[in-house]
Amino acid sequence: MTVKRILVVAVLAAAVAFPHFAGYTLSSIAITALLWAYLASAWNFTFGYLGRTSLGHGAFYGLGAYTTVMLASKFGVTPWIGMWVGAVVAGLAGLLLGAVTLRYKVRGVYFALTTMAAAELLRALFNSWNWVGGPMGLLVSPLPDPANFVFASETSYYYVALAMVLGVYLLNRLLWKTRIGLEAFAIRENEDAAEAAGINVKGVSLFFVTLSAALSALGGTFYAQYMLYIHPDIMFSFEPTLHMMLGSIIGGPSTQLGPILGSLLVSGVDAAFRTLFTGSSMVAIARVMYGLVLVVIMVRLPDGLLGTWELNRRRRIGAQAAAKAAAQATARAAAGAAGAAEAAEATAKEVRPDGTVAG
Amino acid sequence: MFHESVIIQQLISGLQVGIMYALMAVGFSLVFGVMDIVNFAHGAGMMAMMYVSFVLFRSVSLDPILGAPLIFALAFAVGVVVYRLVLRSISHAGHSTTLLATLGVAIVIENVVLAIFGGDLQSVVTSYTSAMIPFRGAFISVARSYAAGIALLMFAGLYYFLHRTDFGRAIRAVADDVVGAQVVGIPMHRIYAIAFAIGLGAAGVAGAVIIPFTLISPFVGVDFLTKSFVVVVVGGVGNVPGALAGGILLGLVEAFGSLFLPGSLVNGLVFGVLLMVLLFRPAGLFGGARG
Amino acid sequence: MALLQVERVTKAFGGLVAVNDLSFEVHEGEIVGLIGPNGAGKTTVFNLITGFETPTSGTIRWQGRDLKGLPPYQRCRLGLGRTFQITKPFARLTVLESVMVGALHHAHSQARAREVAMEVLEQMGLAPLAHALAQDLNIVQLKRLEVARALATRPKLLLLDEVVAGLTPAEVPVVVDMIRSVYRRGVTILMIEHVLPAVMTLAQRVVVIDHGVKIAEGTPREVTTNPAVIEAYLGEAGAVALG
Repeated sequence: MTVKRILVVAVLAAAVAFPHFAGYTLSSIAITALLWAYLASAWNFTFGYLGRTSLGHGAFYGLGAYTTVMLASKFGVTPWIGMWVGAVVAGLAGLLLGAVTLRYKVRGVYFALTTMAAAELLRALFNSWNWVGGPMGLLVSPLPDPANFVFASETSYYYVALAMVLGVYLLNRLLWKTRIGLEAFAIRENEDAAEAAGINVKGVSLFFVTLSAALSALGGTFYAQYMLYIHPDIMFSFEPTLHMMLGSIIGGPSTQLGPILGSLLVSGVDAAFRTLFTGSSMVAIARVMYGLVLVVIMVRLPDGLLGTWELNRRRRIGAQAAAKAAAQATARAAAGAAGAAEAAEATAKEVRPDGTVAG
Repeated sequence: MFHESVIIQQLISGLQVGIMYALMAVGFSLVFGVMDIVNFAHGAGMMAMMYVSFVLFRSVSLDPILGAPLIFALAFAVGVVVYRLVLRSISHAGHSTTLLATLGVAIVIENVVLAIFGGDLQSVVTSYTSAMIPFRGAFISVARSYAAGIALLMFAGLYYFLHRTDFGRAIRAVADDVVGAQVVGIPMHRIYAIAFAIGLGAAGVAGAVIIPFTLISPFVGVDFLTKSFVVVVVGGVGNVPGALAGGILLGLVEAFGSLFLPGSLVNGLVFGVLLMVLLFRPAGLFGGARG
Repeated sequence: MALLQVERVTKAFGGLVAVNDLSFEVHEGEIVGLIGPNGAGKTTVFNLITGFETPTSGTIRWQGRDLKGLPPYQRCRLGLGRTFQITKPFARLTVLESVMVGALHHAHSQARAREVAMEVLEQMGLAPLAHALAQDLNIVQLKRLEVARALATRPKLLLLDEVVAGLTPAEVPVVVDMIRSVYRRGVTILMIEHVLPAVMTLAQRVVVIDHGVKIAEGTPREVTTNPAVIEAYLGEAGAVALG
């Protein structure tokens, strides 16, 4: 067993055992942290894979939550099914937005701005639509009912959140090995070159945007079933989108673990901040810090913490391999020169006086 | 179906608001067209200038419209600083980098304002805030007319600047062909800084002149940004007259849309217009400065 | 039948006509050069052939089939490979990964694409750099990678856009050799070049365009002694170009 394997097993064991040792408060913090780690990964399917910034992921997150809660409260559909309907709804929304903005003639940045406008639109719409609760929001019945995705204990929610994070991580690992994953990275690095190399840029982009939207919707459902209250300003505003983005950007969008680790880091810092400082203006000050972090990262470390580390590691490996190959080539050339002389000699010896060649 | 006075009312207020939208958006369009950078801090910057104007009004009773030149100068200076500090080193980087960097700036601005002033809505009441001129059964808001007038002046000034002055020509050269412009000796970063600063300046003036009739809050930045985006998509990136046309179009769509639809659905209508333009004329109804 | 047929193609950008009623063919097994002074519209021709631009009028045929409406990626899958004048590397991917990308559309999996890519890297002399990041390569290596990536797509016709431009005199023969070896592996080549000596040694036939109009076509020797061509080039420091 390598050190890495032991570490992985230890971390997993700790994660699984965690809720039995932590109290209520710590568990709550952990659950929220895990949810945002999951959502950061979900958002990253557009940013880290395609290089596309969605500024309106709250739209998908919110659509997932609202679909589930509405199906449950109006039609008695269990959220365990409703959440997939929500994922489909959000996926379709993502598909629509992508189909309009991810085309050759449309400027790259329009995707970001259009998703932002879409989320804002949904916020305004849902705020004035009384059938979905309007400005009052929607409450989820808090009666514990596992069949309807409401649990009595934090522990159950914790395990669901943990499963979601593990699931999305495994999905990342899988996609990195597939054709479509590599195609996405190519698109991220240079769209024109990807298209010229035979990649269906539009198709691959739509796949990842739809996937990202659907996964975000699932996260929205979890939020609804955990917090038991949703409201357009909570779900569709820029808040959740920013939260999803920060983890991925800080951690490293071009890595598998980056969004998760980055998000956990942000959650940790945030939690520490909240316990140390209280007061309403503290919220604003915390956000000022996030804004500054965003600026600094973009100017200094655009690949994020883990991403920059990974990139440098790959560079070192590449440089070493190149140096080694260069040394080998030089050695071969030198041996080749000597060998060629030998071979020439050997051949010369084989030519008999009558002109025939022996051997 | 509607009485003539209603039509006239919506026409006039739609025009007035539309011209304001145009002024708000032209700076955004310019930066986008010249440097290919989407300035996410555009809306927040405009909002901050609203607050500066507000403070000046409350403290020294400086009328926001008279104070517009001062606001322009201040916004210009801030623009230069932001460019130097943040954008200069990443001006060549990919779209997402500049997008996220300016987004970070926007978050900082919005929350600094929030921390200082709190989230409550503020308002400014000047001598002309509620003044109305009757016209054919409709009422023309004097405050909005002043604002629209200033906006048109600024538009004219901007157009003159871009087409008749050396700096303006340099800016247009850079927008057209960055490498070529540098080859003939145009200092790219200085031009970029100036274009960015003008963009912010225009937005600042827009922010200042609307406070006599608009509610002031730290959260209006997003709305400004979204509307600027719609104007730019419709009018064409970097296209100054296009921004005017796009803004007026947006204003009229909103004004007439509100006759038939409730408030939030008017947003839906605007979004629908946005999607239509993106689908059928992504370069804008009037084409952009860059292909 | 010709591999590629450009038939009376015109491309206008608003009032500016970049390509004007241009016609030429490329047959299998040829190396054809497309030359002309700067701004002649050469890259636009490539963009039209590969689908990055749409002709205002005229037809482009690939193995007899009209390419109208086909997006660039499908043209690539049909066998039209291209490089870009200003190289477009996948900066954060390794050399191997970059070339794998080109192979994906016919290899269907990363594993299979890796095999194909390794072969191509060997052929192109890039094997030692397989794990280097594209963003760390020098200009010659980048150009080599650009061609390797296009090769991995299994092109029947390779469009090379100014592969030699921007290289030092010492680097030029290296790249010319590379192009020759690609040709010998059975790839038909259409190359745009502004640096005439490279084209003259490689191409069997040359098409000359100026301001979007074909002004000459023939063997390199025929074309360089053509007065219209000389004038087109002399109109802009042509002495340097012809040297």
